[in-house]
Amino acid sequence: MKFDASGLESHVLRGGVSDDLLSVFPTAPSFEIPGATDFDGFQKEAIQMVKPAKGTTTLAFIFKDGVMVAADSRASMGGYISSQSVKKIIEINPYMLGTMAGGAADCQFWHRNLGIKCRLHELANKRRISVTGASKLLANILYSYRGMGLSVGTMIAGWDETGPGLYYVDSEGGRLKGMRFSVGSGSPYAYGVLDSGYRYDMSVEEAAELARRAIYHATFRDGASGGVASVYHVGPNGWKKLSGDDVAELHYNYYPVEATVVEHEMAETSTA
Amino acid sequence: MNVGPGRQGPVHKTRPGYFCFGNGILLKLDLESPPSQHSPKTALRFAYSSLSSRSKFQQSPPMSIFEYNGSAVVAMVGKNCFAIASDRRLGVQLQTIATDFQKIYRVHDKLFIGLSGLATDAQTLYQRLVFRHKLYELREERNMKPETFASLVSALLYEKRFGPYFCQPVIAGLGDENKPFICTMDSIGAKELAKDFVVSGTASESLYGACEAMFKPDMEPEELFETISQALLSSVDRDCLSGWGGHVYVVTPTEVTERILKGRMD
Repeated sequence: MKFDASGLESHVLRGGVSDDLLSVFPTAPSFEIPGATDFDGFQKEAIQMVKPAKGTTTLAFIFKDGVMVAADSRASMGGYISSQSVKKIIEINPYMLGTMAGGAADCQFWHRNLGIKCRLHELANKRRISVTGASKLLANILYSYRGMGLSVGTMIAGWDETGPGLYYVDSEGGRLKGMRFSVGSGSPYAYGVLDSGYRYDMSVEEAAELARRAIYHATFRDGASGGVASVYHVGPNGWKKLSGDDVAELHYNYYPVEATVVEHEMAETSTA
Repeated sequence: MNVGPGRQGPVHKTRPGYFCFGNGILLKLDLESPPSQHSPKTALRFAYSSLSSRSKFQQSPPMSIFEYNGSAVVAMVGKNCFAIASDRRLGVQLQTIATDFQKIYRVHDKLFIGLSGLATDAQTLYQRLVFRHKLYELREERNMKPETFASLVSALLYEKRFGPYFCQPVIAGLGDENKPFICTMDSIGAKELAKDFVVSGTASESLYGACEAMFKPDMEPEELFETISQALLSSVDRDCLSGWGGHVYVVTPTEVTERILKGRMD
């Protein structure tokens, strides 16, 4: 079996016409496959060993001024919090962002791989790849590994010649175009806030606040989400990180603790 | 169930299996029936296993029933005093249901019990403990010593040896001459006495680390409060299933101080 891992190799750009037709389509280098008799069983076991289950809340939505992308920053293994400072928003290139849910290694590797492919597309065609095209590249790769245990739930958000773009791509092979997505264990909570507060004609500030609030509420209810709520905006001039707030501070900003009235002690009344 | 003649106090027997307390609340005592065949825990475990595959991007090994609600409880000994602290979260797996849940219960002014583990069992166990302690008070006309109470808890837990309460209690109290006493036990009542600190709950590993690093012998109440609070808060920050604030009691021979801690709400 051969698997596409062309992202691993340094690519050689070809010029002119080669007489050897096969050299135009070089055989892609491949990942080694374990020589086990029970491949599926082995695979299942191996996946459980290397894949840290990671709860997440990520979201992205399109509005009048572009795309807003936000995520929490917690990594957990079972009940244990292994990190509170994970970068779940991956910067693919200055105009495109990817979000990370599922296996950290799978997401990081394939986003970086996508970044390489997008750059090569840019060099070959002298124009930036569309968000549609980029998301399809990733979806096709993930589909070719379907059933082999990859765990990726991602959103590709960016700005191309057609304006803002947003796609949801997962390791089951799904690829959806949409205006509003949320992925991860905290997504039901984030959707609740997002759906009730979303308007297309929001300002950048309003949209950023909505994204931040949605992440905060998800971190409050979902034990596997937490840490820092980072918010990115993608506009016509590329992406910009707008904020990265510790949700512990956000909580007490949104819901200040009122000083409880201390029970008054019985004072002696003056005998008038 | 027989309450000694002439020693019933405010407890009046009304119907077999029922006792009417002074305030009119009926408490059903089901002491004859065997450990139930249709235990609610079985139902819970089913509900749990169907929930465990709720999201395809959150695949973790099945959680133990002790981790269903999430908890962190710790007790520490100081100089002629002790402190007992817990987190405030009640969750259903990863979903946070409440952030003002009580896990430490006062038995009397110098005796506290913290119950970690499955919340429904903790509450049931607490009710049975209150009942047994009240009977003891009526019969003996004095408060129970912490050592005695620990034996009582242990006995109640072992009664359910083959279908235990899914709780890990932490008991802390001031005994004779105000000598501090702390102990913990497993869900079937194996007592574990300690001179310094005891921990239990889903954050117990982190708590062991924090307490091991921060504990000093013979602390005064103020320093003891600071230490137990810092140990609790830093531990629950490494646990998905506990936290969302803290609850601390510091008990000296003359006073009980209760404080609510602000914590990370994620």
